[in-house]
Amino acid sequence: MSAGSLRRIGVSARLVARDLARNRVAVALLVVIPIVFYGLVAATTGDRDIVFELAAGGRRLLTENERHLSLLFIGMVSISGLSAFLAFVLVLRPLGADRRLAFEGYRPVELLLAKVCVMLAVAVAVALYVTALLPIFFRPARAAGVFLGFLSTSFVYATFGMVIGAVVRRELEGIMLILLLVNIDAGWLQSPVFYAHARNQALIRLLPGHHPAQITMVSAFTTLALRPEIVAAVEYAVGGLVAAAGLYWLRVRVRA
Amino acid sequence: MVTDGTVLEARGLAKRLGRRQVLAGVDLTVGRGEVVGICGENGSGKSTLMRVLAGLLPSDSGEVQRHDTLGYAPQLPLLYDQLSPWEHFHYFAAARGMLQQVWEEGARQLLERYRFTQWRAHPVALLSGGTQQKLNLALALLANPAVLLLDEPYGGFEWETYLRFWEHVRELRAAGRSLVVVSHLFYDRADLDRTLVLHDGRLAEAR
Repeated sequence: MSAGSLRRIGVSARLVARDLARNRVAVALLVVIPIVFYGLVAATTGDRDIVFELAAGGRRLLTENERHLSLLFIGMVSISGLSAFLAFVLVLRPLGADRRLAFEGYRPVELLLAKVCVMLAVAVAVALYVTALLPIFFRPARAAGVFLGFLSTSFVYATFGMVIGAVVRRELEGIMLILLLVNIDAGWLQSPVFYAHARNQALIRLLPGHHPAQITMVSAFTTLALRPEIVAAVEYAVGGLVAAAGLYWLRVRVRA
Repeated sequence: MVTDGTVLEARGLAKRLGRRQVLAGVDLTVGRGEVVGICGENGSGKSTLMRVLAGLLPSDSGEVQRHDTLGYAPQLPLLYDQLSPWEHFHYFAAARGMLQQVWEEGARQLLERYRFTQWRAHPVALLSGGTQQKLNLALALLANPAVLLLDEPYGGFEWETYLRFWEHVRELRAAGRSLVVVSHLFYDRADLDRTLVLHDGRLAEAR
């Protein structure tokens, strides 16, 4: 990659970050949603012990506090929704202006790399923030592992947000898709309590939220190895990123 | 008129959008230093033609030959909501690989000429439609391209800025720049070297 290309990516990343940071609705959602979600769970969930099974736990039954489990689960749900939404906004809203920049001389790959840099920074920020709020309610066994689980949730869902941003024409369609995906996958099927008794567990294991959920839960409640789940989550994120890159290029390219 | 060579050439452009044949064999040649106006009813395909000429939309058949650098101002401003005009200039200058000193001087002149210097640091979302249109045009002009495709560039301009626009067009023409301007206003014809009408998907000389 040439020096000129790197300079253009740098300018683009700075301006994309400013464009996003000045979006007050997005920033407000980022700050408020995790607090509200955690607060609601803490206020409404009881202290009983529940028995559940983790896909990555070798079919071992675990007995844990329901509130702790629910807090972790809702943390993942808030991260997946926020990351997908922010990445979606990063791609869809400026698509027309991006095309114009491509006409002016930017290569689509340069614009995309700048967005990916910002998206990664956003994903890290979201995961850090949601992890930092968790000790207010409880301290998981391996906090660093839980952060890794939240981070992989953030990456995987951010790439899916980018894919949706590169596919849909209007914002409403995209938001509906994100809500559906987050609700069904992260907010329902990946719940370890649901998973323990679910039919067609293989189908649930194929969904994007599965491996990040396993990293989070395994870290919080066991001492089992995380590596296989981390590798699988990275594969999902890279796959999503490649799909997003291809779709974005199709939307932004200029014919010579 | 200064014409010593063709800078933009389109032959047999056809484009169908949905069930509608919007362009049906458009031929267009633009010479150096020529100002061409394109008129036509609403929905006649003027913006589609401009996008095809710019390379932003593929034609179904026909070809476009661009012999020099191109600038394009779309009808609807395509801008970043939360970035200021100055940040837009920076972004677009980076796309063209312009030196900082050069683009900053060019941006200052454009802000002054089109009378929106006071808005240079405000996010686009807070600017009026007319000011956004000024920025939309200024971004196409920043790199001083040889050929400018301007799709209704002065919608929302106040009278003074509108006059300044045509004054700028005359300066650009004198400097050998070529312009294709989409317009509804026959008032503009005095400043056009040729006026073409897009009707039934084809271009014809206006009577």
